[in-house]
Amino acid sequence: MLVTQEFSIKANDEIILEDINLDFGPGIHIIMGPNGVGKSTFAHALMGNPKYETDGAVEFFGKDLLAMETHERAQSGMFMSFQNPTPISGLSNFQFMKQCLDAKQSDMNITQKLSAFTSHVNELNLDQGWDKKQLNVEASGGEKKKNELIQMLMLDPKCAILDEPDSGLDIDALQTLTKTIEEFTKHDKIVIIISHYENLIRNLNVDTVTVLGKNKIVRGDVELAYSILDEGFSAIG
Amino acid sequence: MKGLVQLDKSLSYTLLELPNLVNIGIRDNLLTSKSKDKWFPESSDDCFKSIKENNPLLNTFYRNMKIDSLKTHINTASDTKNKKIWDNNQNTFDIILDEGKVHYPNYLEQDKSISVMQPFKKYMNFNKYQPYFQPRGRLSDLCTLNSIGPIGVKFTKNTKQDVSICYANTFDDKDLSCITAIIEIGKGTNLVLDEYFENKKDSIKLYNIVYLIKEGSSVTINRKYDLNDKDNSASIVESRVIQFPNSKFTLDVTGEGSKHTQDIVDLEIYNDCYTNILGTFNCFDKSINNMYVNLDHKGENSFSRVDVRSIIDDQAHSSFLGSINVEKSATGVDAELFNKNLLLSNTATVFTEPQLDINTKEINCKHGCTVSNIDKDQLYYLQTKGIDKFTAEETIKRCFLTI
Repeated sequence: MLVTQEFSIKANDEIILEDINLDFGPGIHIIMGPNGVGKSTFAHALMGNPKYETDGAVEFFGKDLLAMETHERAQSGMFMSFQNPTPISGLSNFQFMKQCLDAKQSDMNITQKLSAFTSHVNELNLDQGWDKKQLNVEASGGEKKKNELIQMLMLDPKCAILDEPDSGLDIDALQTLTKTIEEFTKHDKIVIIISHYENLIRNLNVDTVTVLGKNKIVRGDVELAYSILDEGFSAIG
Repeated sequence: MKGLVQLDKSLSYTLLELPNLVNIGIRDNLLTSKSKDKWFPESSDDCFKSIKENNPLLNTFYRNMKIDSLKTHINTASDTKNKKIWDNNQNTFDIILDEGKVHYPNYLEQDKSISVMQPFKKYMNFNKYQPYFQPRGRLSDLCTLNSIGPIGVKFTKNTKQDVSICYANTFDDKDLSCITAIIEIGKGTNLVLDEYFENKKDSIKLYNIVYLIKEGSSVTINRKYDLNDKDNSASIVESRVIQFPNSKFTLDVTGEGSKHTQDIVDLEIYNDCYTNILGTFNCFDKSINNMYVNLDHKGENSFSRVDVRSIIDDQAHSSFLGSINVEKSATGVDAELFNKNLLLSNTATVFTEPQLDINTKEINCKHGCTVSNIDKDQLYYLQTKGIDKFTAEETIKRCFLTI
């Protein structure tokens, strides 16, 4: 379980989100909200981005998440897929993946790691030689999103926050994405998706929908998402 | 020897004082040797005249190179030279070069594709290389004058692909070492040369090396600096590279600096050449590393690229001066020059300076110099995937130096 209590986020002395009380259990959770309301900020603050100051409490499977460094949050089972993954020249996709797995003290040997990585590359229809390409350098938006998905599958976190995982994906890739998320969630995982994209939401078995607003937070089931998709954010007043 | 001061004791001197000492016989050298006429008689006289008029250490060329430690370092000349015994069979290098001497294993004696130039052997014909040892107003002039004798290695097209060279220390003393060398790569030769510059503890080593890359040849030099005793050693390496038409030359330098390191590279590039100069340096503690690359495009349709990257941490110092000159007749030249620096400490210093002198219109020329810190977004990204801060920083540094 991921539980936030009076969780507030500030940047440059400006309050972005205040007193958020939410809980996320195993299943698929959608976060929606108008542009600029702080959806990505919420995700980054949970991961410990040093740009943000936080207050309140966040409990992650009984642990105090806010007391941990960013890498400790990841090692304890949190994962975040970036909306705009950061390019790093000189670091290949597989070198990076191996380093992440080593940090997690994975039992897999190098051959098993490469084999699992290659298998995911093939499932997601990425190019041959993807392992040797530099991390998020000269890759399309869709390729970067697929790469984040591979990282999620390889690292096998307890909770994955996916920030607009559907942007840049074509129809086929979107189907693969929904299938991958559904399959992943079967293993008692928490998946939190920040998205407005109708096709993604309609193709997933969504458990909760949370709408972040300037002054209020509304939570409901998938019908809430459909109302917003049909009528816009005015549907929630 | 007539005219030379015979020393009974060791003599201490600084590099600043050396211009007044080279001709009075603190040791047998290019100026005072009875073999002078066989080597560079005119150019050594010209160099001597030049250093007497202008002390090279006061040249503004060194303005960003933090040379104070060179000026004040005490060199100790001794008349008793303790020689190390080199056993080439136990050595990993094919050829060992030192002051006035080339050591090489027996198998090379049989190898007709490599010939060695020793200063005191007959028929070495050093005179013809004089034009490449004209004064430049730099420490290379002092190096040439104070050398025991010039040395060289010639490679021909039958040379095996990979050859390793070590610039070693035969003399176990605290005196200045001066190595004046000619590396000649014959027409149509494909060669990978691994160079290793050994430090001399508590001493300065000066090098003046001329590389002649003849027509149609292709040469890659992988240059590495010794990391042992680097905090107590100084290496001043000046390389003059002449690229004859239709030749390819790559120089890949790696190092961590030292008490004082200079890697000075001057290239003359003629028609239809390919030139690639790469440098990656990781400088920390109090190390000093300076790189200078000067490309003179003298012919048409050549391509050159310079990419030098340095990490500067702690109290280290780094300077880079890159210069591209394109002569009027050198149309169709495509030249790029980049210097990137990762400055990781408030007490470290870095200078970076590009200079372009273009005298023709029909060329393509790019340059860029940057100084930055560790990218916070990259650091955070790696941390979000479980990599701790220290490892993430080391990863970013390693990636920065990956060209």
